[in-house]
Amino acid sequence: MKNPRPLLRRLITAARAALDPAPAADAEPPPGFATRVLQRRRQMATPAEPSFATLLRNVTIGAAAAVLCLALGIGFVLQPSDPDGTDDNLAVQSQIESWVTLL
Amino acid sequence: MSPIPGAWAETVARVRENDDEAARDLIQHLYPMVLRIARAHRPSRMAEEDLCQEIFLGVFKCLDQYRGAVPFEHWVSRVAVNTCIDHLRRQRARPELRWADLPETEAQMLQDLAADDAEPSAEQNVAARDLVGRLLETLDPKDRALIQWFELEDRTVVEVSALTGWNATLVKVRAFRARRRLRRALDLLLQTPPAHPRP
Repeated sequence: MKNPRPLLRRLITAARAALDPAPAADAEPPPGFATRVLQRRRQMATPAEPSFATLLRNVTIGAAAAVLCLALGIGFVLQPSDPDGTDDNLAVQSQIESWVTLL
Repeated sequence: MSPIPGAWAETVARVRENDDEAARDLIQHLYPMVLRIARAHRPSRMAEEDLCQEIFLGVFKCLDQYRGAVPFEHWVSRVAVNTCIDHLRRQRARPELRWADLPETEAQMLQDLAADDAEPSAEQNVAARDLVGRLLETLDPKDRALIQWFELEDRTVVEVSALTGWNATLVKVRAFRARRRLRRALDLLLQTPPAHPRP
């Protein structure tokens, strides 16, 4: 086989000889082309109705976020005032922390 | 929004206000240019008309961003080129081209081209065009576009700069690398010839 460099040159020269002709300067769009483009443009401008799956996903994400915020809020409120661990709230706090970890 | 200079200022303003007649005029006027770009940079699995539609949708979508810094046709050609490159990128590049992937006609043509300096026939030219297309599919879409412009369409650096918005130095550097990658793709193909050459 030849060195790929001159071979590539010959290959490209041969390919150029068989290229499709460039479209005419006054080429017309196919019938209905502009109508199809404008229809799609209008569809893009109109926001699509959310599907049931999208709604369900949004509700699930919202509920999970609400539970997380609630758990964090309770954890914050029930912070122990007694660092030695005598406060009963500690048990509640550790329980909440375990829920937060699970979430 | 600053006024747009040039003959298309009024039409562009009307299209921005969703005037369908103005949009039709714009499509009619720009179609030959858009078709030329789409034909040269079309992913193999996409119909020409679909790509033209995508380009016009891109033009309408970005029309508010047009500030008149470059002629309107240049701006449209950049949107068209970027749309083509995006679609080429979505069509996953062929990792490499091997001898076994070639149809009989292309393998024979390559062997003939490598064996002697005779002028290729019309059939060999067609096979060469298809093979170059396959080699281009192994390249990054930007490299592919640069090879198309410089090697197949004989464009100048200035023209490619206007088409892409890249400066001249960037165009030259990218074109140099694109050519090198194309040579490497052909080199790789030539390293995997068939065990038994075709008769």
